[in-house]
Amino acid sequence: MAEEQQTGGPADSPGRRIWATGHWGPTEPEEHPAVIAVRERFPDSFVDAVNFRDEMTIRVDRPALREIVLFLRDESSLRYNFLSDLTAVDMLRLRDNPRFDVVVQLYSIPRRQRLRVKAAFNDGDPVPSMTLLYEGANWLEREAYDMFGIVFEGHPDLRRMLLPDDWDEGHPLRKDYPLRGYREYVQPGFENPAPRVRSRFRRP
Amino acid sequence: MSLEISQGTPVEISEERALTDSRRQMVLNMGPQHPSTHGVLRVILTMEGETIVGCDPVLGYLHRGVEKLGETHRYSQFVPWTDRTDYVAAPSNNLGYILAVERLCGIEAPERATYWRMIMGELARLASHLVWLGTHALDIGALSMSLYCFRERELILDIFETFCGARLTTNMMEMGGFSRPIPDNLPGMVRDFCNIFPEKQVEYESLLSANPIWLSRTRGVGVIEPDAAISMSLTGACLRGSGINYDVRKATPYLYYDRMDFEVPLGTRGDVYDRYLVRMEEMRQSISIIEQCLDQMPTDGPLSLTESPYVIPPHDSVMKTAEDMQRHFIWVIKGFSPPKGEVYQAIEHSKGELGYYVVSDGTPIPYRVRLRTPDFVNLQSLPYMAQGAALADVVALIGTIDIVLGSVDR
Amino acid sequence: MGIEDRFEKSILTTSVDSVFNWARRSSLWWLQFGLACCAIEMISAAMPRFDISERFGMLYRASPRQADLMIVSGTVTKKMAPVVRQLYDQMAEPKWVISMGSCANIGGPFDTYAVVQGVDQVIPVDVYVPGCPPLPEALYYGVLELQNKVIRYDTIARKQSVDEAEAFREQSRAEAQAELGPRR
Ligand code: SF4
Repeated sequence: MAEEQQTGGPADSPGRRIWATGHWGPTEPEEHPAVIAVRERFPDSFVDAVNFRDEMTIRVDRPALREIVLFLRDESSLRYNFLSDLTAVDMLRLRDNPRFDVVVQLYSIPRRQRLRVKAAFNDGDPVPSMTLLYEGANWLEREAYDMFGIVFEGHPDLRRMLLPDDWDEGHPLRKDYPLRGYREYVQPGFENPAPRVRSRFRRP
Repeated sequence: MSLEISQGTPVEISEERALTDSRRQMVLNMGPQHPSTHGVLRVILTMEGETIVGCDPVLGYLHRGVEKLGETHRYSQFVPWTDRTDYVAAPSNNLGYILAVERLCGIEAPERATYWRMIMGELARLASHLVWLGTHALDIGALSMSLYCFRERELILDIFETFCGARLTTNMMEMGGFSRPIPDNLPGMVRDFCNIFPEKQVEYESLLSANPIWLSRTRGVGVIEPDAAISMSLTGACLRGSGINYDVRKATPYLYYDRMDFEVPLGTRGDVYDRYLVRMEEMRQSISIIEQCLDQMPTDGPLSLTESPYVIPPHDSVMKTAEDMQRHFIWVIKGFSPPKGEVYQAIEHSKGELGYYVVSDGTPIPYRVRLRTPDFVNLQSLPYMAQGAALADVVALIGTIDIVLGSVDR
Repeated sequence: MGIEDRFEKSILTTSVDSVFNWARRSSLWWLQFGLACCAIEMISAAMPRFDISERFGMLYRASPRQADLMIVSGTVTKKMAPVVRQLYDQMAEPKWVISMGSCANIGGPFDTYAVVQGVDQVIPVDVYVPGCPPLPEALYYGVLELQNKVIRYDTIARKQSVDEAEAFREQSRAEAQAELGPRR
């Protein structure tokens, strides 16, 4: 039972799926126009291209991330002119080095195609900011800074977004940060509260 | 009538300072407890007289750590939290997450369940737009709108309640379909609602569309240029009000939206009034989609997958066969493990593109769950729109973006 | 400056109290203040189908200074907690608090780094309404329970208990300081 689950579920039936819509371009990396173009234009920075469930992911080197996204945005045959999402993943439990991935989801409104660009980097490395290319990256990058402590180079206004300005317990979406944080809320004036009943159910 | 909110709004003058030149700037703090910020949004405005020269939204008063919760619970356990991100359109959030995980696992719900998912998603869109219309009109001064809108919203909540027992936080979808049967009277209730609602919508429009106060408060206010809208990654009515045709249901169809016949309404001027018109037209299209679903839908058939290891086995076979009993036990105790990989599933939420980015490392717990919520990104346009606007327009601008703080802050 | 500052407990104050309490019970004005999902149910409760305002003489006010009742409807985060406390402090005595929903009661489903596990760590609560979210009918029940409490309100005793609470606060602060040393 468990082995069957590990190796991936039932055989995929052919035909259109309700979630897989073919809007990520050709499924073979060799045929995908964006992959071909990026590989030709940036041979040194292109790492690889992966396809999973029809979704095309291009992995690139961190320093060239901004140039590559600019190229994808402005090249007349690609025109990925819409930034769907920008976020990060802490890869601490999956690999040793480098620690983070920054994930950029692009969409092309005229061509109706999506693309994902990823770049790996270590804690403390500056990541080129996308705010010069897409204004919408502003808050997304602030959020990534708040949650992961990633420094975006060239961001106009990098400060805490969701947590309080004086939050001093680190960056909560890092994998080494516990779900419940390090401290309980203490009301000023009641510095030694009685422990909550709930803490009996604390997970390891 | 005793519902009066205009008096005593706690806008406080927090700081006042004179500049070196003759102009005087004032910093005005609005929120986090303010009746027309739709929750706990706080906006710090810099004013020159009545004109806004700086606007800095402060978020996070409802940041609850939903993404962290997603990383520490099993795939099927996370569904209830998706309800609580955008709580006025909970079924849409369920839908986005469930579609993302189904895509990760490579399974697909049966046809009948898919149609019901579409119906529930469209009903959620209607409920959300009704809350938006009521509160937006209330902020601008049309108090009675909210009474009418919430009256019709109760009919939608009745449908949800009949189906899954909850009014607001529905938690109605399961991996591979629905875990509950469809009650016999549900199609009739949905049809009744589709018959009632268009008349009511005419009523709303007769109250607002040609109302001189409404027009002067919304026409030419908060204009977003098309290029700026794309650059700021706006989605939903904020983008379509500026005339850009991007609706996830048409552009990258999911479920059976490619079988549906519907229009994507577009605005021309990109102001508050156009976004109002776009949303009103969207409601009409939603009703037509629901009717088409009811017509095309097979009347019986399975509501959930049964064979897949990713889906909880149906109740009667658990009671009858040993294998299903074991499978059920493992599913409940251990969860299911999708293959390694990552997916990004976008759906058209009532507020725009709702994306779920799920990374799996082959264990029963997601490695990363990311919610790309539409209103978080759309709210970025508030400083852009507020620049140069009058103070009284800020409530109209906040209302037109259609934010729900649970989904902005997550 | 109310009767509590002028008199000790006597026949006069109790009968004045009973008149006042009847009036207070029948016109609880609540602070219009929504935090999360429960706020939507609270608004539904005030809207035509449930109509809590007209049935109980309740009226929502946007300013804490005009409100008698605070319905904490939703998740109280660590960022929001000082604001909730400040709003509570701004309300005029006598004041009551209904904690609506599991989040305000005990943290609800959000047992995370950002959420205060129960609003009673921030402000005193009179009535807890369970549910996620509670149905409007459940909020009714909470309001009825609160009305039963309001009718027994005793001005002099309340004043004494407020003084006691202040003294307890001072004492626990002193104890904490003795234990931990001065605050950094
Ligand atoms: S108790 Fe439930 S419905 Fe209420 S605020 Fe908390 S999560 Fe939302």
